[in-house]
Amino acid sequence: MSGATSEAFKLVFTGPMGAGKTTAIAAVSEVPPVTTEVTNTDKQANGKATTTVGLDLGRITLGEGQVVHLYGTPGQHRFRLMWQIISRGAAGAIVLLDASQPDVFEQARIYVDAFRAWVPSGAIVIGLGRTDHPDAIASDILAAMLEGEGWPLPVFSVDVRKRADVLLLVRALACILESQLDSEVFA
Amino acid sequence: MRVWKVGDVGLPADASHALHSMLKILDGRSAASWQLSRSMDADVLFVGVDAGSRALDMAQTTGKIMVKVTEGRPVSEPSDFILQRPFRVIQLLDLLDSIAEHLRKHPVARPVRHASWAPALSLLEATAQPSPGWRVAGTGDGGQLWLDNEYVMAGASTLQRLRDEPMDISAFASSPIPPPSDAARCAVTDLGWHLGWHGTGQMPPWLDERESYRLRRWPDFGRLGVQPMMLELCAQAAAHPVTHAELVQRSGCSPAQAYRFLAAASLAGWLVAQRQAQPRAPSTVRSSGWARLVEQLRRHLA
Repeated sequence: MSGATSEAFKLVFTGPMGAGKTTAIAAVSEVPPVTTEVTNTDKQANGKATTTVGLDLGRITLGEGQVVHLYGTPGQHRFRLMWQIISRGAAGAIVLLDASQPDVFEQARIYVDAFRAWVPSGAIVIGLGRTDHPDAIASDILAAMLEGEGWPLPVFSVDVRKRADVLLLVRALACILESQLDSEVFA
Repeated sequence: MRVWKVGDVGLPADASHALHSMLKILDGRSAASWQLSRSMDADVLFVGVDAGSRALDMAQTTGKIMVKVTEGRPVSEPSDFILQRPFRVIQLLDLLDSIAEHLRKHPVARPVRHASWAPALSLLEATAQPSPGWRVAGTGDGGQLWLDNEYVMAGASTLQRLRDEPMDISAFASSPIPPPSDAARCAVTDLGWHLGWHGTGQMPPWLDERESYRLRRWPDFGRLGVQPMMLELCAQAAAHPVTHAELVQRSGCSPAQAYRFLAAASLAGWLVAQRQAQPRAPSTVRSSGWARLVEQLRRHLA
């Protein structure tokens, strides 16, 4: 099966700059995540002080030495080459999006389209942040858009600073992977 | 002669009026006897498919014989019954005779109404109409819920309780009085999910035990809150069309949980009846390292 050994497998957190990938991994990783944060020089795209340029790496240990590695991709599109490298062998992907951004639909298309090709199981879950912002789009509208594109993926409103919300995304991904165990992807 | 009940959902007013009038004219002229009824009691549903309303979604979840009524060029499966607007008596007669023949060859069980499903059935009926006006229902805590096509309006505390706990809700009825201006709102889908998940734990009368269903859209569990087995049930039903029995077997949930899930998903409008391409093999014991890893992760996070 592509995407895992019997002892470890990889989940990828991806999404545009400022969506909360580093924060989400930190919320659920049992060890302080390895990060590659540098000063953000692309303030036009997002005003935050630092941004990931390489990858983030966290870990969840399941017992008996079995490990889930949590990888975060850089958000800027100019590092797109890294997305594919990081997602090599990934079992599933969590796409984090910012509901208050005007281009959230376009961002959803970009990331889902890209990672569906790279994640063999097609297991993708969307975490939609900042849904309480006055300009935020509703999760139902994004889910309907994705359904219209032929991608009936889970879309959950989340606050990635909350561990329970990030665990919800990972749990959903695990359930999707388990539901596919009989399919040819895992044969 | 067997009497078959006919209902309509989502039809424009002129088409609905024409259908009702013509059914009276056809009385005694068709190969079967046809009687007008409410959509929830009907054996055959005439569904308006031009407006993009929830009518088609609702009708598809019932597993009933469906006639797609359309003004444009019909886009259909070969097995669909189609009625193109405007239609004439002779066209309706031909169609009803075809349906009578179909029903003779493929008998269907008549749905049974149950009093405890009254709020759910009234929700289905209201949301299937293009513009039902305001409907109102009482809640067990003395509050009220107002319903239109897209939203449920209520006091903020009532809506919060709706998300957090089971709540007694009466059937919706037409109301000339709109909700208070300071009422909060939530999506109709949220109310549908609530009514189904906290329902009777029995098969909803508008679904069929033998039919396979597919979840076409996941609920937003970040907003609705998630309870045990919800993720597992959604994942199974989204991956493949499943019958109730298959859902129980594959997810490991109780029969009542699977009934609640099917009711919730269909009331939210996210469930479609879908024939399986080929019968799925029973789930086998999963012994690979990968399978154990996924199962361990799921248990670890539960």
